[in-house]
Amino acid sequence: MKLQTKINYRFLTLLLLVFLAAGGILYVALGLVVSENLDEILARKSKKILQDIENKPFDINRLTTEGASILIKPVHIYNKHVEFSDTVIQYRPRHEGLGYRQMKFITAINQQFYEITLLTSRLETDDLMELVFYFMLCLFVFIVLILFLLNRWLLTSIWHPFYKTINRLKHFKIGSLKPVMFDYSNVHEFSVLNNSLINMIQKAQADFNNLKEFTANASHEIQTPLAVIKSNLEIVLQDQSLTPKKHQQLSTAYTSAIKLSKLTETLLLLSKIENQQFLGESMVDLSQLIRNRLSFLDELIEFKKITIQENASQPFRVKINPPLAEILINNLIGNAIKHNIENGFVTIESTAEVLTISNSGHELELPSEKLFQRFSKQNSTSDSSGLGLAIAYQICENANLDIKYLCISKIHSLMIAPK
Amino acid sequence: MIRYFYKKKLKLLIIEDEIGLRESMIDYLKEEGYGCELAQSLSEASQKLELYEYDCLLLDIGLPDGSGLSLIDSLKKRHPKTGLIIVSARNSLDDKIEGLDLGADDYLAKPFYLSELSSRIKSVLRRVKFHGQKVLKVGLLNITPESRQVMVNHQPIVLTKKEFDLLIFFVSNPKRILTKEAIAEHLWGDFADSMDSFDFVYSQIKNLRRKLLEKTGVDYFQNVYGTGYSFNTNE
Repeated sequence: MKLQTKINYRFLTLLLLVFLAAGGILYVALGLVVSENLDEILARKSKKILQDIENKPFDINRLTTEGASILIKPVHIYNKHVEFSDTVIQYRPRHEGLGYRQMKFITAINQQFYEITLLTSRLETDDLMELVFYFMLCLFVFIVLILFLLNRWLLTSIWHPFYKTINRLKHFKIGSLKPVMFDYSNVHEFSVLNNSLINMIQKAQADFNNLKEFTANASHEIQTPLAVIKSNLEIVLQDQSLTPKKHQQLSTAYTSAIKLSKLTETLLLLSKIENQQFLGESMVDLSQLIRNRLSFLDELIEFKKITIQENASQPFRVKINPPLAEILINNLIGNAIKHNIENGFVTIESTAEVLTISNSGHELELPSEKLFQRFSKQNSTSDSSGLGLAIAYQICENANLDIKYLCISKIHSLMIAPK
Repeated sequence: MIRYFYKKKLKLLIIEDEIGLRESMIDYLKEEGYGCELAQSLSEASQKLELYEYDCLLLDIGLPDGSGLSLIDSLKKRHPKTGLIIVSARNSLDDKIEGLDLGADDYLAKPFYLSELSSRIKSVLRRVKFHGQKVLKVGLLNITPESRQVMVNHQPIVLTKKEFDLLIFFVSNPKRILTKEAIAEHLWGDFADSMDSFDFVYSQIKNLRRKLLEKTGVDYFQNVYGTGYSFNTNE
């Protein structure tokens, strides 16, 4: 939920509650005031009637009063009590009744007790209440609107530095060599936020760089002794006087040394790519590069009984460092062939916008989101280092390309498109 | 063993500062019959080049007193018939391109297989010294590297491109055990890592072995305990 929406929601709920309470109180208060007013009018009228009755002999049936209806009913018991109340009179059946305020009192006329009911219409006061209700509603809508606009203005002006900071963070990459800068803000909280972020990021970047340097340095330092081990083992393995058992043991050590050497080499390459040590970009037709690589591998492809299908409607050209482009294509093609099945296929599709390399293969045991991570491989015993796709991913990242993996019914596809 | 190809003992200059690597290179190459000399730095290499002439130079680019690349120009002017193989860390592709542009005959990425090094040296020597015209006589085989032909008793053996590369690799390292890793890398370069190419290596060797056996009646190949293969002519 956006900050603005959240604030608006809160305001709206609060306003609604306030208006409901205020409306209720107003309604009750107004009702009371109006009733009192009507009661006063009725009381005045009743006084006049009583005066009329006392002053002259009087025909009960001709008793009237101005502005009010009068009902006279003979009763037997006198009661001094005067009663005011609300009533509804229905003139016609199945029609809404009209609201009245009534006053009941008992008086004696010609030695006979009569209950006199004076009625006065509440119609006007009901209209008034309605007016008040609509007024309140309009006020409510108006205030909500004002608050909404005010809120928006506040968010765009006062919160502006905050949004700018968020935006910077969104585009921040820990591996990027550019330092992160935030704009100065005279709002204390924002400047505290920005400063804390800068400190945090600098720390994280320093740690990240240390780690990267460590990987690069370690790989580099391991490389030379490994080369010595390797070449010496290569010489010892030439010794014809070795027993088969000894030969086998040395051979195992030799193979492991080679694996280790390749691994450190690859790690070194990866860190070089990450550190953007490959400079210079030019337009490279990756589909053409694939074609060249495939023709270099045709004997191996034939041996593995893999069919190559090409559907290059348009060349896929991107701005990329040429040696890296070669490594990228080598890795992708290598993967497509290595993880293929017998009598499988590799499909290359290229348009101006996207390059797709698909291959038949086995079900992927690895979660696909882990595919581009380092050292992620199908099974721990496999010969591959699990770095091939990590390198491909990093190369794409450097060249501002998007690389995506998709698997539909055992057909694995890797798609490359400009970001 | 090298006289097998050439009459006189060939002289190599190895310019390499890493002691462990240097020694294994010398050990391997001496056994091939080369005369090996050593330079540990750029200045030492320049001095030696002033005084002697070599058949082939192995030049490490990353030397303590400068880049080996600076040596190439003067070397090629002074001794145009000296072969030059530059050696540098893998992934330093700029070095490779620059070195070859300057006139190096070949480039080898560290770490390399000694068998690969030996094969490269022979290939460079063939090109520089004999302009590739040399016909290699190995057992009953007459191999012309430049035209990629193999003849037995005036009859050609038809080999695929990879089979021929493989044969040259073996012939350049006679009686040596070539490990399957070295063979795979020789055939596929960096691709060897990105796919399981050992099966393919086995099948290629099997085919080559069969073809040579059919025409010559001799089995030159020997499988060595699953480590690799060696090529023996019993001469």
